[in-house]
Amino acid sequence: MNEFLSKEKSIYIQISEMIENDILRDILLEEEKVPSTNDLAKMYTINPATAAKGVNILVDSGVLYKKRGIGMFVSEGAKEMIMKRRKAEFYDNYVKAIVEEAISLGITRADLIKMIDEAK
Amino acid sequence: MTGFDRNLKYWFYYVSKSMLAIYAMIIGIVAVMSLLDGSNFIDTFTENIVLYLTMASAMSVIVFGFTNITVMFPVTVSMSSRRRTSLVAMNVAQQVIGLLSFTISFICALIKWPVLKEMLSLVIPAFLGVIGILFFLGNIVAFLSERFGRTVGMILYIVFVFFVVFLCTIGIGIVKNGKTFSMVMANPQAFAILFCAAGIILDVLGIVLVSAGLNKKEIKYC
Amino acid sequence: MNTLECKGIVKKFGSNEVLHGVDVTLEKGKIYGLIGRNGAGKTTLLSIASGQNPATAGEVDVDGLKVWDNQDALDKICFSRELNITAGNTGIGGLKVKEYLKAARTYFPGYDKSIEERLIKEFELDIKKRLSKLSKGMLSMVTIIVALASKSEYTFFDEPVAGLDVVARDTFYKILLEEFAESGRTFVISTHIIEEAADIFEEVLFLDKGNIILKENTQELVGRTVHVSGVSEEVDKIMEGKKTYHVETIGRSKAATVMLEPGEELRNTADITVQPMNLQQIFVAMCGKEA
Repeated sequence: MNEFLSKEKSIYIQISEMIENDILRDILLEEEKVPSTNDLAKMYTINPATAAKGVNILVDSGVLYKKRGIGMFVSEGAKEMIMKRRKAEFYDNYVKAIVEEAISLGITRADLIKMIDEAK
Repeated sequence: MTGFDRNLKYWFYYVSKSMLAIYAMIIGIVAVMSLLDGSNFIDTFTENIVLYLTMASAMSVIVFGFTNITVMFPVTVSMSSRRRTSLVAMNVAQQVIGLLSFTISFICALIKWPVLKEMLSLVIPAFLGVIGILFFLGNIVAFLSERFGRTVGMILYIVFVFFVVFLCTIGIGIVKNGKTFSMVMANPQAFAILFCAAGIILDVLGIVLVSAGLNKKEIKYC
Repeated sequence: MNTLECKGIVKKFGSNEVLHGVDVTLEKGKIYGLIGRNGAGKTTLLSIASGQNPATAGEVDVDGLKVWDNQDALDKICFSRELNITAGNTGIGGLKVKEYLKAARTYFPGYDKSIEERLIKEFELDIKKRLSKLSKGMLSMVTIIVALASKSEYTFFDEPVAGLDVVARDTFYKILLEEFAESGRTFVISTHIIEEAADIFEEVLFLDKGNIILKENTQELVGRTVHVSGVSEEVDKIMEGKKTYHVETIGRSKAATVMLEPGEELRNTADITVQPMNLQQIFVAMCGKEA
């Protein structure tokens, strides 16, 4: 948490990503309680419905689970879940774009692989 | 009607405050005048108390007419009051407090001129009639001020007053020189009661005019 | 019920028609943004929707009750107007802040004095001052206090942050969200300062030249509206069959604001760039001079 909201992506997606980042950084541990939608709304000065939407993405994907009357908690194994999903999205979010850009610039496959090797 | 009590509560509070302010102003003026011409304030004040109280009461009617409706009434509407309720409560507060003020003045007059006590059956209806007409005039002023703004309202009101004074002078002239005078003098009681009734009817008319006539008007806020 | 409905609201001032048959339904328990340019008719619409001024035609119902001239309906609504006091001590300017607040306390049945006291402290407002002696920002604070303390089910704000500095504005949004979280009251905030407040609106309404041209969930609207630019022919292909605004052609390139279907996605290609837009940009594209 504590990141600023950017204008680049939908707010509710950013909320879900921020919670995921905190889980990956061990700021939020498994079985720990996550801030409530009203707390999130207050923290980021956004409408509670938007915060709820972001949280619900994580509930739907299983990263968080709801304890009736108490709040949202980090699921067991959430960290691995997130890593696995982000690895799968890596292709869509980064690789495809690189390849398209490379094609439009006329960079060959061999050149691209060379660049990747150099990139460390 | 719902919301009447809160309107009564507020308008009574607001009108009483204004009334006290008018009293304070009159007392202040008299005090200054006494200082200037070296007379004793208390003596001057008690000597002319009937005059001062009557002036204060009459002034209040007109002042209320100008200011309450242009200043406070829009505020009450902006605070979710139904218009008619606010206007009626405004009139009730204005007239009850005005009547109270006039009554105090009347009682002082009775004390000062005990001869009046013998003519009560004549004097009281005539008194009520005059007050009724005054309240009617106050509501005319209010209506005009709301419709045309305070400046225009004031001008129209002065014209109206001159017109009324003009009519009255002519009326008195006719009455003095004609049969009407003897008719009135022969049966002063009936005349007084008629006058009182006229005053009350006009008063009610004034209230209706303001409550109904301004019901659909666009209120412009500051 | 649980709605506030404006049906066919027409408003004429003399021969000038300012609202042309506005139809809008507000559901309870949301924060709405009413966005429009100066003179679009926001204040007029809100004053009619709150029953304070009459419509030339049309009707407003709240929870099934007619709003006009009906105290039971009026009790559910608070429209805290922008106070614009320019004259001297004459008129309302002569009132002290505490007298104005006392009137509010008397008139709103659910008025909560603790909220009033908290906000007076928070805003550091001197309640002994006369309204004519207050700055624009302080006048805004007064109207904010009345609106929030009124506890009315439907509360309308007209340009509530006019004159407030950036820190005070932030305070207002935070306090508003707190009150919303606690009470679930319905709020409508009219403003032309858009981007700042965009995140707190669950839904936005665009009022353009006397018509409501859009009413939508803010996040969804922002999510599905994109700025597409690039090779003219490619842009044209994308524009086909979609709502588009503010189309500009410069040489062989074209740019446009395009509204996608909910869930639809558009990616950058070699020939076109697809960029997200924020609420302010969307509003300007739809209601600006070259819309």
